[in-house]
Amino acid sequence: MPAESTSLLQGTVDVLVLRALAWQTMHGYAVSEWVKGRTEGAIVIEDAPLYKALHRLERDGAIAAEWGLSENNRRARYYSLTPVGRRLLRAEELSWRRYAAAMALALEAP
Amino acid sequence: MIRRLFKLPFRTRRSIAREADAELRFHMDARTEKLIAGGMDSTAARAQAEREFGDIDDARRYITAVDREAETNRRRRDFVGDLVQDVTYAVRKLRAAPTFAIAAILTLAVGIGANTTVFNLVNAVLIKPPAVTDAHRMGWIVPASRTSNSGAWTMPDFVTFREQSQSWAHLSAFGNVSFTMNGTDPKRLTGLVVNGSYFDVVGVRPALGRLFRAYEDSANVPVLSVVIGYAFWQRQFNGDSAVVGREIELNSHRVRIVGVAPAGFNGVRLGDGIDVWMPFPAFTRVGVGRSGLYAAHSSRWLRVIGRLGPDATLESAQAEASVLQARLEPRITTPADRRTLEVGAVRGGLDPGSRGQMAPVLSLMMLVPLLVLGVACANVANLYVSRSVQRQKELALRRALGASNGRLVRQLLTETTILGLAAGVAGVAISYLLTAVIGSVAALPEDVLAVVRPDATVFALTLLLAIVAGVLFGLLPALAATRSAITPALKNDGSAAGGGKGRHRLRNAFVVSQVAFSLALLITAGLFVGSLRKALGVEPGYDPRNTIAAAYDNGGQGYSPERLLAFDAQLLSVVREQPGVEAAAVAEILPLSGSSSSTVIRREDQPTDGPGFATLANRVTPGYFETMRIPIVQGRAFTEADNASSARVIVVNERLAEALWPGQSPIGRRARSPWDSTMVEVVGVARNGKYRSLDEERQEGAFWASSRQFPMGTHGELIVRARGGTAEAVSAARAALKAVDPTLPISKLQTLEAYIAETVSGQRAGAALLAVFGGIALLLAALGIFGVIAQGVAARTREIGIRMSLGARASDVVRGFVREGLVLTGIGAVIGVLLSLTASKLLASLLFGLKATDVLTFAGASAAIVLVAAVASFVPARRAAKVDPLVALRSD
Repeated sequence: MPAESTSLLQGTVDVLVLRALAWQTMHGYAVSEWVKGRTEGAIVIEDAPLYKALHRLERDGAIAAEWGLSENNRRARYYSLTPVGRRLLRAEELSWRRYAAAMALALEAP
Repeated sequence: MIRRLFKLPFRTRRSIAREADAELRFHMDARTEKLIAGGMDSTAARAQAEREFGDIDDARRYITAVDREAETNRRRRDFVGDLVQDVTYAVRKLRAAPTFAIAAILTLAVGIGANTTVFNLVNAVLIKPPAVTDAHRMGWIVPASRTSNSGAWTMPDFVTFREQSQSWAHLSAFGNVSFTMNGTDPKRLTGLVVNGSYFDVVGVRPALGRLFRAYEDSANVPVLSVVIGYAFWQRQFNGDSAVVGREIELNSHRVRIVGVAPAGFNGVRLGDGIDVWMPFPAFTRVGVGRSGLYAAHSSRWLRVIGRLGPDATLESAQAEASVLQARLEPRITTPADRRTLEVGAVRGGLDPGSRGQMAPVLSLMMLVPLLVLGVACANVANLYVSRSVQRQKELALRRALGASNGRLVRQLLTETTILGLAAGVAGVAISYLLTAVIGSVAALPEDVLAVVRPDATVFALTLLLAIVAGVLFGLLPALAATRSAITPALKNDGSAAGGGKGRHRLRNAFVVSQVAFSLALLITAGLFVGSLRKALGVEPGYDPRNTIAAAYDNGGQGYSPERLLAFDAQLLSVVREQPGVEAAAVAEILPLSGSSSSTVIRREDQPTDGPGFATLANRVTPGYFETMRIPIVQGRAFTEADNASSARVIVVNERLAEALWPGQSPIGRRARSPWDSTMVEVVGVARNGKYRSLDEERQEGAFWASSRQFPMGTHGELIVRARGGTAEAVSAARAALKAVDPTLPISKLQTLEAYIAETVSGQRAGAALLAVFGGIALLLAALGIFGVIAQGVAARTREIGIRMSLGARASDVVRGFVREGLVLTGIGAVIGVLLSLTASKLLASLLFGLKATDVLTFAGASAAIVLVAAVASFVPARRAAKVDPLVALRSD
């Protein structure tokens, strides 16, 4: 599994995190659950790179963090997308779709 | 945006680590719980969660590092953002209150401008080294004695000193002279006679051509060479680069220009303004009138400067000079005249002797604008306190919204610093203006003005002063503002808005100090003006009205010795024929003209090498006493019968007569002439007079000899008294000089009254400066008092209303406020008087005919300030009386 996770591009984690937070404000664990649910186990991502990405994106101003209370009343760090993050997500999504389309085209070619 | 308004507290290293732990723990707990809920046992669930997470220690290290970085960025951004915000906010606030801003900026600018101007002068005169290379490796060598601070050398002494001294790499003697440049438009040039190493001492490079070389010190050089000054080159030759090698005629001798001194170099003394540098050997040929001076043992007319050798310091040079001084002039025997050699640094534009004289005056001059600045700062601080009262609500609101105390103080400091900087810029402008005004009033020559103009040092100092002043007067109100409570201000309670007791006391303290400073200035100004009037009221001993003097030097005209001897008689015979001329004479020296000649005279019975009596000497033509209207109290004045073939005679003044022959009639007594030790007989006694300055402390002895018996040098002062006024005398003098020799230049022509005014020009400038600064300070103090009373009236409108509705009369209310203003003034005045009394010791030496504790001046200045204070408090107080009780009660 470590082999798989390191093979994942850093950008992949970033765009997944941004996508998760575009849906709603959530804490790190929820982001982890969301990624697991959405990729349906096809991509296995460890939690460590996820948290690294969260803090990196916070530093770069793409997401903002604030302490809040979780569903079962525990202190958790909530992340939300900033306007900068929203723009970043749009750009990343676009390049991913282009990349995926290009790959598909290449693989379908006889 | 949210962060801006409600700023998050800074995150420390430790809180970042703590938060990272908490976040990761929350994740692990949540995941473990979920797995347990799915049916796992707790140990397996924990292990599963850890496996899914990956390297948790690495993640913790990574996210704390990233968070710390983010925090640093945030702080930096906040600081810049706050600064930008503060500046924008401050500018907006100042623009919203333009009257306040302009008043504060102008008030401060005046104070700063005054300081910059005076500091410029002091800097140029005392601090800034002349335009030489490595001034710190140069030194003055000055002979000082108890009887004389002239600091001048004789040539033989200099030669001895130069031969024996080891400390100096180069030594140079120089003397100030003047030349006539012959031609169709004859001119007087200021010159400096120097030895060949002069330019090695000052270490400058020529703008053009070359400077002097050592061989030019030896006699019999084939060509007489001169170096000309940069300004003279521009003026006379329009900066023509072909000037090198050109020949000009000085004192009827051809000399060759070998080089041009660099721009800005005018010798080592301020105001020398040199046109021509000439080596000594050339001068012995060219400088007809004074050439004898070159070798004479007794002539002290040279200054000496040197450049230190590689291992020497000013201290070691001083030690050496103290040893060498004993080998100089062994002929001087009287202890009073024994000189000690003193080595002084080359700083400012003065030689050490003049420096010693000027330093106390200039320090006083430095103090005065500082006082003005003090008054100005107090005023602005006052403005600020009033303003912070008005802004109480705004500040309280901002604090209630979460701005920290530090943040508010920073905001206020930003405002005051901006004000200070604006005032600094305006102050520099004012300083340029003041410098120009002072320059023209005191008639400073161009080379002095160039030095006096503000330079980088002064500009830096001004900015520093501006910022310090800004912070100083901004800090107190700022501190007061943060101390105040929030709620009363928000409630707009009148008493709170009026400021607490502390605030009131602060403002009163400002007013008291303003009054004290201004009074001290006014008293000083009053003393100087009084002293000036006393000096101008002094009887000079002659009648200066309707009389002029024209100075000339005929040494450069190439006259034969016979023509030189007959020159003054010929000139006078022409002058006396001019229309309107009442009387005319020629004198070697004009009293109160800035030059004098002192010597020692001995009675017939006193040995020539023994002690004598120090006296002033002058050589004059017959008719001198009549022209000057100096009364002869005993005996007679000179006549044409006193000539080369008759017995040699002198006229002495009362003081000299009393000193040489106490209690006896001096007529017919004999003394030795100081020029050639021959016997002269006293034929008359003239009334005592002033000779060097109007405020000279003790009466000096003086005697006159007839120029028919003791021919004067080439310099002469043609004195003309006309019946119809000075204009008539001027045209008569010009016409006569032109008729006798059209190529003879007149170096100076002015009325005797102007000469007298010139002797007190320093005092006049000082008095004017002090009067202007005193006036400014008084005005500022009046504004301060006005402000405080007006503020008091505004804050207590409701109280006034109540009192008036209860039957108090308007006059009582007004009287109350005026009394308040006068009490403050009274306290300030007492402090101001004490301040002046402590300064009186410093002042005493600068005053003439007036004690530094002159009661009349003190009383007058105090009365003036009380009067101004009364008016300044009455005007706003009257407004209180017009208060309509109903309106006042309703006002909030």
